Amino acid sequence: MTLLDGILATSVLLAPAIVLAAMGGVLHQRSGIVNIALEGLILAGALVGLVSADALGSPLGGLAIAAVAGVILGWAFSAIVTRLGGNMIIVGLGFNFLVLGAAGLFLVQTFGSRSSFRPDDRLSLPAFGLEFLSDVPILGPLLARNDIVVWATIPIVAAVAFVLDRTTWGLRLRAVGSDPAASANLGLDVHGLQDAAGAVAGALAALGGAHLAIGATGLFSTGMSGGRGYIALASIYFGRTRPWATTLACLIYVVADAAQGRLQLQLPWIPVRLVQVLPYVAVIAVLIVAQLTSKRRQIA
Amino acid sequence: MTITDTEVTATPIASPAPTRRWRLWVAAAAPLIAALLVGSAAILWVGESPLEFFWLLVREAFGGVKRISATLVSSTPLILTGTATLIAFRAGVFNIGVEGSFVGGAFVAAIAGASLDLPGPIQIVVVLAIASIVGAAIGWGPGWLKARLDVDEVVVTLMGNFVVSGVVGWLLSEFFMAVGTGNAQTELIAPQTNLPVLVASTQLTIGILFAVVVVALAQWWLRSTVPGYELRMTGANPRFARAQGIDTARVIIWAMVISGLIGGLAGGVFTTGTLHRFVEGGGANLGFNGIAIALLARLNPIAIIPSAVVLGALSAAGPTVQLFIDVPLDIVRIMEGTIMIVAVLPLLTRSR
Repeated sequence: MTLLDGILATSVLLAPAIVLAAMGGVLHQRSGIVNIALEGLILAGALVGLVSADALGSPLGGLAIAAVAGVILGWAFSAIVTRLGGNMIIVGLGFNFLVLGAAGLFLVQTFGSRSSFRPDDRLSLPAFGLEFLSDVPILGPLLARNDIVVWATIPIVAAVAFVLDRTTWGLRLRAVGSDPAASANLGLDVHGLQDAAGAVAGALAALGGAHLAIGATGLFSTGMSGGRGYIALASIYFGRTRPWATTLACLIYVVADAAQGRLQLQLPWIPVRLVQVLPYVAVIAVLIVAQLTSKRRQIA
Repeated sequence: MTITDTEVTATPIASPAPTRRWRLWVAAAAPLIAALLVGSAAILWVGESPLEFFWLLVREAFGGVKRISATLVSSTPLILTGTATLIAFRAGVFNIGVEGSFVGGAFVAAIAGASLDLPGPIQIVVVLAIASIVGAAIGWGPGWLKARLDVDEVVVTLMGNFVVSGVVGWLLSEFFMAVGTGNAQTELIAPQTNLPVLVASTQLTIGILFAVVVVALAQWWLRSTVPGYELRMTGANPRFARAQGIDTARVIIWAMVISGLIGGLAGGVFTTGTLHRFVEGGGANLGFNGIAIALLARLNPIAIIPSAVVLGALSAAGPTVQLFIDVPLDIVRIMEGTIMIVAVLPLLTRSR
């Protein structure tokens, strides 16, 4: 396997967690809620997914239960913000603290280990693909054999884009996000729409987390979300809350991350820590450029 | 209610002031009570007795001079990061970046402390000043962007934290790694940089005095000076503040600079008083915890001290209690999360 193929194979495996969380975040953000809780939702999904997959002996069952848990948690986060009036940033950060503490507690309590949980039986998700391509460079690692969540990620992105742009629900969601007061006057259930988006966001982020644990790494540790929720959030800003552009931003990060992991051995002079900072710098730069251009438009 | 009433914390973050005193007490106590309840539930879940746990915690945190000292050592950086967060929040600026100022300040304090060799107290003053300046610079950037270009400070400071820790990590691994250790840490600082110990045979240094002085200054500055008044007005009602002739953009920049300055000082005090070097991840989350503390204090400077002592007690007693019950770190996180969520709910304080 060439270096490039290796990078692509790693990228494909690690992409769903970030892309799915980002799609959930896009929906929620379009409805007016910045979802800082994505990080905690990924972590919760990873834990619930792996533990229930192990208990049921079924990886797909684990994914389903993680998604259900994500619906509940995502809705709860959203409802605390919308119905109880909590500040979304603080509630989101607090939510992440809560999940982190609860996950650690659960690990110690259930498995007696603070660091990680690795099921005895290797769980693997059903995988399929265009196997005749397996020896073709570039296309091989991308298309020859992927698990079901990797494949599902593509239609999910398309579905989020379609729902937002082409459906009544998506239109209402965007209306609520751009002017909650006017939407309420038109008879829209503002909190209901926002919380529904929050529930979907929770399901997608948790599904991504479950894939990270079941499909990509086969283990759970309390550090495994590793800032992916914040990268997803950064990608949403980078993609200006548009599903495909956001996905592209996620993929650029995922490929760059996989590349720096592998290139480190070949090219030790690359300042890895500085490269890792780039996505965050890019987001800040995008926000500045966006403000500058919108100001210029106002003046013109 | 008069304008000078500092109990009015009508920033978009804090809830509107309650009209009755008992409501104020309920609102002030609610996050802590909720945290104790949720924490107790978590302790019950792992099959321990909450009463026993908290009693053990209280004994470990406050039983005797040494233990009280240890609690105050843990509280010192929290008092400072809490105050740093408070200044920004009172100006209506969502500074999530105290963590970045803290890490930046802690790192440069370690570098300056190890490479400078000035006589005694001058060394300490210079090192802490450098840490504060770096922290202030880290706060200034997002403040300027918000005030001049209306760039969302939440995203910039949230992302900025990762930028700071990445740049610090790079500088550390490339240039400042201590020789002969496997850990990502700097050399020890010069001995005269270590903050003088306050109570013999404990780790309690004059850092706690710095922290108390900063709180007192913040209280005085917010309550009794014109810039402090302008800052509160900007936070309470920016349009009204502008109508009064307050240059709110300038106020926002200064609030971020001061917030970052105190955050950087917190990092400097942590390095010179506690670790005596910079260890990557060594002060993890002390900046973030400042948010929980500022909210628990309901953005009242004086209340920062008891709030920080409560959370400091949890983390100081943690390691000892850990010998008996294997969960305190997670319990602390759960309680902090609960405090943050409950503290921003307007339900309890809404006046009817």
